Amino acid sequence: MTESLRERLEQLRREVERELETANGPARVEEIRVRTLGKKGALTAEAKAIGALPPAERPEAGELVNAIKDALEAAIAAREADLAGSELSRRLEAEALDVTLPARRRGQGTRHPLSIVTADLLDVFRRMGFSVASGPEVETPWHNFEALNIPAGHPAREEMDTIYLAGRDLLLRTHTSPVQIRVMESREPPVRVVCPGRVFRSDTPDASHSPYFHQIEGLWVEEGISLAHLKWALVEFVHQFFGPDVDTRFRPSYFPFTEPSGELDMQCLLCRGGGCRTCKGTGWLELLGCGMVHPAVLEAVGWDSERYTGFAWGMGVERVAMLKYGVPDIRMFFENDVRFLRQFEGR
Amino acid sequence: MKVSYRWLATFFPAGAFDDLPAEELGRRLTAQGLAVDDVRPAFPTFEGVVLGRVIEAGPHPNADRLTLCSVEAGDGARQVVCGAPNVEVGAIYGYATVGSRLPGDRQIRRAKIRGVESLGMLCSAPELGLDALGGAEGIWPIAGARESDLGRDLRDVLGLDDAILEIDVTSNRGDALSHLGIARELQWIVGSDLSLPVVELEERGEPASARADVEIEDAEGCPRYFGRIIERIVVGTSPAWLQTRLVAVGQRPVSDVVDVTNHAMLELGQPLHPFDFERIAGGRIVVRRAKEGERFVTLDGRERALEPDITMICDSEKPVAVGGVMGGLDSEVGPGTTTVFLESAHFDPTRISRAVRRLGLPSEASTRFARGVDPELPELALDRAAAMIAALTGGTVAPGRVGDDRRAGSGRSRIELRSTRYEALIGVPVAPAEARAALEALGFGVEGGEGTLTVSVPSWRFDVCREADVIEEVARLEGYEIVPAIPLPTPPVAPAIEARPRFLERLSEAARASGFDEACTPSFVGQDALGKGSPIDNLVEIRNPISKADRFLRPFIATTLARAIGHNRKRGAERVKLFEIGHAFAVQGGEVVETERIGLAASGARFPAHWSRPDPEEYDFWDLKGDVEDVLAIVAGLSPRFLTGVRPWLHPGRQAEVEGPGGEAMGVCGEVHPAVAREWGIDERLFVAELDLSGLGTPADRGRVAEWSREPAVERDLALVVPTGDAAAGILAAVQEAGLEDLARVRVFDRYAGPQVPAGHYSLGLRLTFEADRTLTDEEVDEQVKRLLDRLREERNYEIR
Repeated sequence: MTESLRERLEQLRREVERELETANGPARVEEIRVRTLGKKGALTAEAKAIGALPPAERPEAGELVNAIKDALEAAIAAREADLAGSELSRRLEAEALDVTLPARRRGQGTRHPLSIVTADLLDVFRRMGFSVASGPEVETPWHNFEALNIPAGHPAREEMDTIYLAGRDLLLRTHTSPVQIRVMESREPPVRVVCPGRVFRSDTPDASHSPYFHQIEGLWVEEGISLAHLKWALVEFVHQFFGPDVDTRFRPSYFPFTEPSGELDMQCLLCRGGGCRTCKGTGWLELLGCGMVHPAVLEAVGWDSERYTGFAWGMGVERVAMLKYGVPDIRMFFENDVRFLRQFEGR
Repeated sequence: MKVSYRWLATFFPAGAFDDLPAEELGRRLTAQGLAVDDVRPAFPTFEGVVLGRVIEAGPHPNADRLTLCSVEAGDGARQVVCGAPNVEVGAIYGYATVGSRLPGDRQIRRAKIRGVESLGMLCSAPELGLDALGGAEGIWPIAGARESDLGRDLRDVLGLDDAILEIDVTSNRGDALSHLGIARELQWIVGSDLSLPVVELEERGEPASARADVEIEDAEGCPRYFGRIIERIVVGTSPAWLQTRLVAVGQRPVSDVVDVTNHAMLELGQPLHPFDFERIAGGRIVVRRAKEGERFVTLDGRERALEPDITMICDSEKPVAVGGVMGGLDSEVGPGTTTVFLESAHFDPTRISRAVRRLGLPSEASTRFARGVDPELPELALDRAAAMIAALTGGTVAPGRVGDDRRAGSGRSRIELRSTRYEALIGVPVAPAEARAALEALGFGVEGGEGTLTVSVPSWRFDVCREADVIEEVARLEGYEIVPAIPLPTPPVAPAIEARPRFLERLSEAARASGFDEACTPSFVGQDALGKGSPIDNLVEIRNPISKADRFLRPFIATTLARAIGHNRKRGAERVKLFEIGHAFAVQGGEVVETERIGLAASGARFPAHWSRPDPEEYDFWDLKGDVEDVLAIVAGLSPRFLTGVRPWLHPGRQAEVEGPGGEAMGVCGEVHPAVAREWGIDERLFVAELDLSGLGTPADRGRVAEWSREPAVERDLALVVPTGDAAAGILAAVQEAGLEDLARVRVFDRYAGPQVPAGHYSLGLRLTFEADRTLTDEEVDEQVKRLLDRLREERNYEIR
């Protein structure tokens, strides 16, 4: 009796396993499960039939049926998982993208090259101990000229090509130097400031002139400061900003608000001193004007010019940006063509 | 300024420049503070061209247009075929001998021309690359050449082997605007003293004072005035050597008299003016201020209106020149002039620059007077030029100068130079002997020794006024290169990044995060900055604008940004968002008010183009308002308020005034009025915002962070039917004011107007979120919602849809 039961059960298992193998979807597996393990299923009928067996055979028969039941349940579950898995992979396959297609970007904005250069310049000077100050673009003649030792009729004043406001004794600052005056008027020595800002000249626009442009001005006044400090600070700046191998040349010049005055040239970045169009064949590029603060300037703000000395310098931001990025025409900075602006992404 | 190397050499003993080629001289001058921008040959190179005289000329046997010449160049006559129509027997020409090499790598060979042998060529000026010296027509006779020059190299005779130094003279160094001025700078470099040109003046005839006199009335404008009479002259062209000198430094030869005055100016720095003496009524010169309303015709034939601060040179009847600026047409020296009155005067720099500005008449002379000329120079320059004019024109110089000298005090200023001060300023000491040598080389007088030198300033160095100036003179001759580099003292506390720059940096980051590219736009705008016909009372006007159209300062950055948007849209950009942080200007209460602002402007697609969205959504007002809120939230944690605005240049129904939480005005945002946008060249919708930054700067102090509920939230949606005129902000405020104890958030989720709501009304969908520290029951929430609805019905007559 037990033997025939065992045979029947084994046959059932083989049949079910064969059917599962060919089952091509979850519905078919479910149908097999119901037909085998359901309330009216083949195996369920065998289980029910155990009650009719003599008591001595029942335990063994029960064990047999349960073992087959476990085995079939496992086989069905395995097949179900199998089928579900391939279903998912079919879906995933259908969802595949061509990842080489263009992305959807939110379109973050870019920084203007003059801002980048200004920030980089300020960064170098901050590390030397300067802090940043600013002032108005509309200025008084006193701050822009008189306090800077440029009295009316001074040739330098004539050369500045100043833009004046109508009907007022005010002008658009021709340089950032009036910020020096404002800083000294409002503080006690020592002062160590850099002043970035927009300045104005009555120049007709061309490739190298714009009636508005930007400067950075620096001022360091305290006891015991000499031309030698100026030289260190500016040569150090060139090395930090343009590279440690860039040669510099420091030569005398003239500005009404510094005495002695000088200009700092640096080796041409394009030809490395060999001479090219950018440096007009000289191998040198004029970078900035500088000098020891004129005693008359210190006296104009009521500081003791015997006790305090200091240096000041100023340079054009556009010029530095043109050199750094190879911009051929100053007007490009103010045209604001996005095809220009977006080239500065990430710089 | 262009300076001739050969001309400079004439101030020094022969051989002084042997170790100083022009390039080296240029380098040394640059290192000394006279920046030499360029050194180049004065004239094109050629070789083998000598001076030759045509001693015979006859027709060519085989050609009508050719001339057969016999040319004597010192070593026997040679036959030369010449194609020029202007061969003159007896004239001296540049003769390119066989084997000579002309500019453009042209070589002259023995040749047969139409069957006749020709040994070389007679040259035209263009063939020698000397167009500026000779005419373009035919061969070029060398003016002033002598018998003894025959066979000499043309380059030597004319002095063509020269280099030109282009010197950028700083505005304080009026004294350096001449060869003499540069030569003074060279004494230190060359190591020997210069000598002034020797004046060989032969005076003859009736003394000048018998026929002319000078009176200065305007001593401020013209403290010194001298003149000489040169008579019996024949005005002609200058000799070739003089023309060459002038052309080399960029001056155009005119006539011998004019060329000599220019020569004296370029040599010594003193501008001179020659008058035709016959035209000086009464032989009398009066220097006075122009009269109010006086008019005068200058050399260039233009009549000019004068003003009293202009100095006029007059004769006994009328003005004859604008002093130091330009002569008059009537008294100009011309071909028929036989007597010249040569003026050499000193004019006040300030008055001259004012006159130049008034009259718009810059000239070589006025530029020099404006920068300052050595007040002691007039006599020397006058004598030098008078002698030269007499020599070149065959005239004679009448004995004596006439003149008037009203200079108050001519004492040289004396300045103390302390060696301690030198070291304090330069950072390195200088030996007193060294300082003395440098100053003396520049013409300063020096006394004293240990510790302090007393320096007397030469008359031409009017720019040197105080100790620092003298220190610079010594330092620049010593050379800045020898100044050591000494590190700056470290400040006690390294400066923090200051609040304001950091704020501006954050602001820029916030704007860029919202997709705005940073722009940099002009400060100048036209009167239509805010649309045609908009009032200009509050615009700040420029007196001397670059362009008449743009004569105001921008009242909004957004207006100049908008132009940049238009520029890009026209060039095909589908999405442009620009921002700028900068200054804007307005007149308020009669005063100019300058504020720091951020301007934002946007037009086109909301997002960058993407293939998944073939029809991109357009940027709109809500995007703009969101960008404004984002920027303010990021930089300052600020939630601004938006109120309906009424600015005429913005869309009447799509603009808002932006206020801070305390009700302070912060700016504006909105769509630009389409009519105004079109004026700016933009046909698409254009959005702008502008925020005044003066009130901002530090992130808002929002206190400690708050706890939040860990219990599930309960939501209720309401659709209120409200009159069209009721703004959303007011409704939201009313909801908040109802004071529901567990209401955490209110959000607008829908807005509807149409057939489902009564006319003149709209429906506003609100999602209320309730949160509490306990589990909220539906009953609790319902009770609160009911309370809200009752209140809205009672106070505002709102219904639920």
